[in-house]
Amino acid sequence: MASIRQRHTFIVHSQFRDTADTLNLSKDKLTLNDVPGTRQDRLIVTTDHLREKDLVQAVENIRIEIVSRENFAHIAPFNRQLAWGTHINVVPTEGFDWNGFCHWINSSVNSKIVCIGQESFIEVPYGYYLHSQHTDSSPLLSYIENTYAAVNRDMLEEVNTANYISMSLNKNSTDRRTTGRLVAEAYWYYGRWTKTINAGGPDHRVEVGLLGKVADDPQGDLTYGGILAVIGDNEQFVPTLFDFSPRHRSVYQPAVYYPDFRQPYGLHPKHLTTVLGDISPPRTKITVLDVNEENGEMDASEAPTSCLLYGYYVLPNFIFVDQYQISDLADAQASSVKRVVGIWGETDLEIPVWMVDKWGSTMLLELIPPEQPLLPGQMQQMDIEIPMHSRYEVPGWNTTIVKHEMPWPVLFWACNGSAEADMTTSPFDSNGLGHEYLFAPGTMFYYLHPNQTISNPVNTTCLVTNLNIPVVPLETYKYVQPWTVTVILLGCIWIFYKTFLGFRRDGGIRKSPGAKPDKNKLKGKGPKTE
Amino acid sequence: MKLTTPRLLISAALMRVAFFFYGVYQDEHAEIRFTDIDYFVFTDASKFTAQGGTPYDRATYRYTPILAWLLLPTTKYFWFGKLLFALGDIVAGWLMLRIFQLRGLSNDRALKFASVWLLNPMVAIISTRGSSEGLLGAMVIALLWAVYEKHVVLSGVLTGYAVHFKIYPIIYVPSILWALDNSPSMLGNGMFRWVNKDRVKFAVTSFITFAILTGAMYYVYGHPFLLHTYLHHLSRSDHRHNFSPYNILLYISASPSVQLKSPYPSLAFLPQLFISAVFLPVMLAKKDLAKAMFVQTFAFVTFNKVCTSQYFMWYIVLLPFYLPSSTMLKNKWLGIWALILWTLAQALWLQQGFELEYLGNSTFYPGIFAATLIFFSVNIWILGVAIEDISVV
Repeated sequence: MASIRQRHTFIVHSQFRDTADTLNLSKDKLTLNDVPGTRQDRLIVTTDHLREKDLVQAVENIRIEIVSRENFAHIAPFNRQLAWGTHINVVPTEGFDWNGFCHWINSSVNSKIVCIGQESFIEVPYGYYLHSQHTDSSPLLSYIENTYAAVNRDMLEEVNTANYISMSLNKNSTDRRTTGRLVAEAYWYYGRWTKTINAGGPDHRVEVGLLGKVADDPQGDLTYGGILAVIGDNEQFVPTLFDFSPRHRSVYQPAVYYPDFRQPYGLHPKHLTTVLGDISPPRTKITVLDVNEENGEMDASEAPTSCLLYGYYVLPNFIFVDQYQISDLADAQASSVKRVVGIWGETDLEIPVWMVDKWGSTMLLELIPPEQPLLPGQMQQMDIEIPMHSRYEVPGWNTTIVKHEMPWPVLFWACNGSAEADMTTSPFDSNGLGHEYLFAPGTMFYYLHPNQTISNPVNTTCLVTNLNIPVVPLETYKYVQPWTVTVILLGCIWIFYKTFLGFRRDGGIRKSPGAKPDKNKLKGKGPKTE
Repeated sequence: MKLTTPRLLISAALMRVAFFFYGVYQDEHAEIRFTDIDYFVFTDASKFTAQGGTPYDRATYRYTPILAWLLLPTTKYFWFGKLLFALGDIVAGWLMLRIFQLRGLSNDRALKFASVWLLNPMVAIISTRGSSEGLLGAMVIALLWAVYEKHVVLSGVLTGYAVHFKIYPIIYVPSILWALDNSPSMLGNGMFRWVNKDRVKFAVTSFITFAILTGAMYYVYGHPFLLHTYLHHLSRSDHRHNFSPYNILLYISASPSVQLKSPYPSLAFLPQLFISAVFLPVMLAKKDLAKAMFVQTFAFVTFNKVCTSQYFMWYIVLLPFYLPSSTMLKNKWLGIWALILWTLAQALWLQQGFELEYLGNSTFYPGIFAATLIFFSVNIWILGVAIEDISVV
């Protein structure tokens, strides 16, 4: 029998007060009535009884994440940002059964994900990665439901509406509670919650917390407080207050970005990300504020710049970047590109989309932030223009265009400074296998906001960019074939005919190459004579 | 001012210097670079080689390592390759003049026709953009010069080298062998009387040169060398839009939309190789080797599965040999029409290609498709006229 720890966290406004109207905790259940806030559900379960035991045994770290396309507000402490789509990251050990894993992916995560074995994953520095644009989460939820019968079915149905779902298993996690266990999480970035949460059975702990931010210190550490209850154990909420150092944070200052392809797309679309706002390093800014408060001086130049700005791109197989072209940008320090940290996956510059085996590629760029403004809070603009290339698409019936959607890149400051241990103690820590693993442990991430406050009527709610790629309509093949063949054959006939004409005018085809009737004619022409 | 050899060569050099500096300017100031993308491929390959790697560390490097070695100075002087390629143009032009002399053409006319290559802005631009075709042009003219000079061994070596460099000069082997019929037979007067000393010398030297170079490169760089330099060209399905008449056919038929495995990639070799490597050498090589090589190359490029404007250099370098007694010049209007149609057909294609590539309009059909067939037809028409000319010696 599996051991299950189920946790529901509601991040509510600090002004929220529990009243009998909104919360009703009894011996074996909790009823919420119209509680507004951000919600995280989390299950931590043991894996001993899983049918996929063999898979679990040969893996060190695995994480599957399903990110909806909605442009949700990232609310602390759940600031981790990912591109739209399903992300599957694996750090296997020897003897990992890739085919079995893919079979499981197709049966339990999404049958549309192209996964036929190790060859479907791109190699990244920390392991293997697969991205897919298919984000239907119902198979995964049915899987959890079937595997852990004790989990409330209603809860799983609700999860279908979550903005973000993840399932992970990390054997090296420094967090005792999760090491070697399956952790499933679902996030709703905003909602009003009316529901009943029942107590679990034996070995099934159901905990509910309603928390709010109490304080944040200039270093970015957070203090949260609120009430907790283990349903079935506590008949009353227990107050709590704790502080932690989150790994993922939002930039302190307002900075937003909006990516799009420049029009017209052409076959070499330029991907332009415009960043607007106060684009200064979060740590520096904080340090400056410190100095300001303590000494009454402001000396930005002495501020330690331990933060660097990055852009992390997910490039599905219909599009790619030319590594040499991007390196040239970096060499010239152009288009805000400072350094190409890496490009992983399908980087072939020539093959059409149907010859690409894997799903695509990823790219991590270090970016050049604009010069620091003279006055803090001053509006800045930064353009990141990345030249991209679309692959030749599969011709289709009655269409001259193939429509694609590309996930938005994720823009963040990566700052060193904290100790890894400080972060893992956070009850909300999410060290997801992904861009975090491209940085040293202990790195903190401050995310820029994807188009939240700039009023742009187009696409404000989707974290995807449209791209059209021209194709040849397939029905033209019935003309292309005969016309090409005919023209080529006519061309051959014309050549043979003109040769024949020439030889006839020259005095007969038979006499010519062997017999050389007219020595004088050859004189001064052939290689034998000068 | 009278055209003389030094004046012609100096003008050609000055023209290239001018384009070179214009290129430096455009590279720095305009959005579209003057320098050819391939030039970055070559120079990157040289850089990797200099750093102890192999030229094939650079993706899409599809040439012999010798090119990367030749361009090693580019790691210090980026412009060195362009200088070398432009020098190749001029050497080709100078050897062209030598060949004209051997063919007994008057000096005035020789200078005039060599200008078609030396003062051709298209040629100068392609080389100063950093495309290696000028170097290849020099090799082809050099091997032809060696044949005319009766340096059979030298011509064999140069041919082996050229084939190692870019495969396609292999089509010259049958024509040169066929044309070398002036030395005594080695096997008497029987069935094998065609086996003569020159032919054996040429065959052996060209093969040995090719084998040694290719063997040596294989020894140094192993399978990646064979794969990228040669095998790639056999297996590639170059689906991207280009001037070839097969372009759209190959694009559709190679895609998974077409269920059956397409026979076209292999079939397309047939007319091309038969006409350029068998039919034309046999029919024309003995009449006039230089002209035969011109039409062979023209046919090879016209029937090729992939065709870009750099390939035009392959036959333009031989064009001056065809022109002197051609009907294209005797009948001025014919020549002018040929030039106009050739240019217009390209312009039509380029316009359609621009709409596709930069505006994203699906001009594959009928635009680009029709433009490739029209361009092919114009080329074939010109080719036919040239072949008839050469047949009537």
